[in-house]
Amino acid sequence: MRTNVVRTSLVLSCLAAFSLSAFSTLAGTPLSGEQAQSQSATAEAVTGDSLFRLDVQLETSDGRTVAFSSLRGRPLLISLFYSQCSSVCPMTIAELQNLERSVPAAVRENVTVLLISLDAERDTPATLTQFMQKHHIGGPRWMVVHTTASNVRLLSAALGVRYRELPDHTFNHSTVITLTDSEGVIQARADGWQAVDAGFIEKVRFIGAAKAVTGPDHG
Amino acid sequence: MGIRKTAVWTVALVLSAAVGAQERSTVGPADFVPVLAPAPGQSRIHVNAFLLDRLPVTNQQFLAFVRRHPQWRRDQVARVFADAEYLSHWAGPEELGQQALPTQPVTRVSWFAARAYCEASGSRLPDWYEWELAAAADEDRLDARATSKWQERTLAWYAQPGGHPLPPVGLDVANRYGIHDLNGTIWEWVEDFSSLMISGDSRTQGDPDKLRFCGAGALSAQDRENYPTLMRIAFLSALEARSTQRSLGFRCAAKEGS
Repeated sequence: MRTNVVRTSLVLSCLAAFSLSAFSTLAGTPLSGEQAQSQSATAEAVTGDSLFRLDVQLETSDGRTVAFSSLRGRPLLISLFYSQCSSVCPMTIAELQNLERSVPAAVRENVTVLLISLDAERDTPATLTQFMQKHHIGGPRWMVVHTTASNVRLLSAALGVRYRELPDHTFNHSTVITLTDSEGVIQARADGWQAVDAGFIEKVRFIGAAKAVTGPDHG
Repeated sequence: MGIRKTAVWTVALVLSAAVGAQERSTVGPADFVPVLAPAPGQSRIHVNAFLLDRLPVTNQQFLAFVRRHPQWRRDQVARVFADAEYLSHWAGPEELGQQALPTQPVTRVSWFAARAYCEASGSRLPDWYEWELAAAADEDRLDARATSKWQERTLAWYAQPGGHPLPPVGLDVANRYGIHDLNGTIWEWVEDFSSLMISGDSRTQGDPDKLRFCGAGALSAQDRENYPTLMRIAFLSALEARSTQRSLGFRCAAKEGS
């Protein structure tokens, strides 16, 4: 009986060790020097209402893997899209580009525009790069990323974006532009492609002007 | 001695958790006509075989989870993941009390918390179509939705005034899959609750949501007589992921063979 218990404990601890190592493999994307630095510079825990509580890895259009929380330090304008989208997404992107033009340069240089793909399967870095060229997306403050389908669910849930993949691989999705401050706390939402109004722009000016102390540089 | 005792207890706890994890039924595979058309012009959906918990997750089970993962205690949970009412009917952060009996389904949990619970046990939340397929059964048929018995029984729950204490899980007759409480006890989170977009009124010409939703717009209901399911969809589609409600709980699903 005792041997059985010991044996079971052994099996269990092996299982535990295995699951631990599996976990660290999954979670352990090695940090680049730059990320490690920005993490230590912002070591203080983010607040409970910060989106940076989401434990999500993103892959950028140039193939780098970055933790979503490593974007801490600069205000964000976030929107979800997918590169095959032909109706509302281009309008949302045009809207973001207009928004950028309508704020002072200092704000423009401070705010990161983050476009997250809903299409985990098809929006590879190469596809995203083509998409950026097609829509003349560039500049150091724009990040176009994709992530796993599970992470898309998490991010869209936190951003209040509703979406649904259809059998032909198009996505129905609500068009939302979210503004966060440099701590990842949501400050404003523009819901619907035509909802970027004067009030929202004013918020972007205000939040975007708050100078980042330790802004990570993803340029 | 103390260590050995602890070991025995740990083993007992882990074993009981493992037994608990096997309390699942296989559902599907099935070709199924859901209430919401999967896409414009498409009425059927194929649901692969999957495993679904026979019972909703209880207060007792959720308490064990919260103890192992203190970031989900009500006094430690990040506000971005749960509103202020999260587990507020519990007597304390790690205490159930009179308003939350061990065998009652856990409610006032957010989608984030429900998802984390399932993930911690190597499972996941069911998708909406999986849930709808399982809930279409009664004790006699796999798809009982067209029977007046199913409709009346399911509707009866909505007609009950709120405020009653929730019954313990598993008191009703199991359906053909051996699953309890899908209808008549609580609302349940599904993984893709945010994919349930229904148009306000599909009789109107044109699509009022065309500019709000990218793509083909909202979907319309293909079985307008199925009020219970439509109400559930309407309820889920109005939630935010951090919302919690007194009658909103969940159960987990898994891949067949896991």
